[in-house]
Amino acid sequence: MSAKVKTVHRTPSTFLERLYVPSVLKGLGITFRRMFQRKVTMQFPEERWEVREGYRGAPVLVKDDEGRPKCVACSLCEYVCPPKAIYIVPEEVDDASRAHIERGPAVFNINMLRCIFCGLCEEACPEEAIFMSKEYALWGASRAELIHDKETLYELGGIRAGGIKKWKGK
Amino acid sequence: MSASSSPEPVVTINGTAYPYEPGDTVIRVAHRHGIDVPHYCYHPSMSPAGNCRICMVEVVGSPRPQIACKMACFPGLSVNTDSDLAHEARADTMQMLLVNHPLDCPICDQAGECHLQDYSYQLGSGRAVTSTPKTKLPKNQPFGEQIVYDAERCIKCTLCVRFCEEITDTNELSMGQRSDHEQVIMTSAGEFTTRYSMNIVDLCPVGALTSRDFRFRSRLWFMDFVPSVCTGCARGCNVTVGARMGKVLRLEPRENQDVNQWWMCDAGRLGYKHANSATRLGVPAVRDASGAWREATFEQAIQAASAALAEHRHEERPGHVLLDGGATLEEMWVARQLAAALGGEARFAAHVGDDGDEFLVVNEKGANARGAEALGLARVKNAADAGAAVLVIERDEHVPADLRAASGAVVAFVTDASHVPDSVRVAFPFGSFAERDGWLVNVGGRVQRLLGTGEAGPSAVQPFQAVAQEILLDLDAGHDVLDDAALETRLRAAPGLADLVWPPASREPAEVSS
Repeated sequence: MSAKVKTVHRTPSTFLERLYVPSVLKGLGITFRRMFQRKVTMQFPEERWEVREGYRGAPVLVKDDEGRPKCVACSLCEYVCPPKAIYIVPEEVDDASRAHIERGPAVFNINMLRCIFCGLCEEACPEEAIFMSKEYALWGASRAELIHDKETLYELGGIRAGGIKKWKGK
Repeated sequence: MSASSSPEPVVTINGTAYPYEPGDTVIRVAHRHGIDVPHYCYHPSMSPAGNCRICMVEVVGSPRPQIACKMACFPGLSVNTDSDLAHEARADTMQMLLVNHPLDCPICDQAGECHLQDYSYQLGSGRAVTSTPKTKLPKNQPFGEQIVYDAERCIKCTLCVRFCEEITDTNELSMGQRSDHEQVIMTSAGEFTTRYSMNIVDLCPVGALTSRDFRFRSRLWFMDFVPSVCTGCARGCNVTVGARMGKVLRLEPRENQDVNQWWMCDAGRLGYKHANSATRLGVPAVRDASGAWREATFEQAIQAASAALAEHRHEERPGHVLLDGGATLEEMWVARQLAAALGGEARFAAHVGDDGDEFLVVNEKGANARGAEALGLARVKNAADAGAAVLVIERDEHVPADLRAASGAVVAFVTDASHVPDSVRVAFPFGSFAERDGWLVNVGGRVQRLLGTGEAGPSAVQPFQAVAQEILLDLDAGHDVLDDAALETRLRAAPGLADLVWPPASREPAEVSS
């Protein structure tokens, strides 16, 4: 044993300390005092943090200014997705207002349990149809609820004005 | 090297002299020697049209580039396919072709195998120099029942028109309108009279002609492609099978000058549907005491099948094995051994049609009927001869319901669960043509390789050869189990098969074209 060892002498607790009651009361006192001071924490989920531009939240599908779905089911996001979270089944669109576009997704699922929020789907999309939203609070009561289907994705995405208008007038 | 120093005429391409035959064009000589010359409207089977202009090459000593597809070779001719002038000419041609092209690659089914896309990537600038709006033309036009035409994507190469003129001689298509509005039109009343119409979908270098059957089904880059053989009839057209997630999605012809050249018929191309049937048998099934089916593992099913067959043999009922005419030589060989152990013989049944023509389709529909005959298998033609212990069925038309019911078989290997007759007690899943490996003999006595893909069919299907030999071991402990390589060695030397046209020994497909 070297000379650097320092022996610490523990003071034995007093009777009051061993009772714990004064300590508990002291703690409650601090809590009580804080109730009348300025709040420093955010009251989630009533209050939500406004995330910065460029934040990558849940990927969503958007509609154009006229409320038409933009996705043409080209499957490039499905191809590029590193964790294979995206699953698409293409179909021929029978909507007369979009007959010229010919193609759209019959099924578009994003498995949010797999998604790693990398944003490659947004980057790969040639139609500006898929975006990383600012939605960061994702929860579900079952696994199935966290597989976002086409309707959920369009609901989350809403209408996004501007951007390319490849199919305008078509 | 110059032309005069060689006894046969030569043409110089990129500084190297290559011999040519009279009538050769520059593009033929170049392609024959593996020199890449881009092309859209050129196809080796048809007369050159010379309208796409992408095959332009520099002619040494001439200020103007020339198209390689129409330029006849002559002694002393020297061309460069890779010079600055050639590249410039092609890049300008690409600009021209893209003036009215909609560039809707995300939608277009051709994306991934589109020559316009490929050459755009190689030669294009990524920026259009024209600012005029693109011409609007009809899209989604039906050409017959199976083909969809998109006039906007069309680059007017006329390959489809020439196919209907020169190959099928049916003249259903023609060019209509002029200039920017030029498009392919149907001259017949909206229907093809040829049975080879869907070849124009493969011919089309862009996505102007797409197949209604494959339209929007899957992106090409997700699919698995294997070089195989069409089993629609005994011609055995060489094909590429494309599959994804348990489904066969597409058959496309593969070049083989000795069998099908570049083509295949529409019926063969669409004859894969049984492989995607909703009632495919995916796992073995055994009938319990009450006669109801229950799923079983392969071990349990093999045990049950051995017991059922031993009983069958004991009762001295017909011990034949009745095979589908599309079964491979390996399967027939093992079936013959199994039948011998049961005191019977291997037989086959195959549909014979009446729609054969002088081009590709033949009346004999059993893809391996010739192989079965070469192995000495008897052909079952009617229900009276159908008695058997084991059935092996891929296609309903080869072993129809009356034969199945009359067979009295106790064990069946079936692709589709609905093909199991009432007498059967143990049913094993049998792979479709897209899942099995083996040799087939076509109508001309040519042995060709059927190759399966793991992307097609149910995942747990074991080959017939393996399962049948397990059963054989149970029936006859002395059976010498052969793997596919050992089977192939025996097949190549077997009487009746040895003198057929076999490809070189390898586990690779018969012939793979570029």
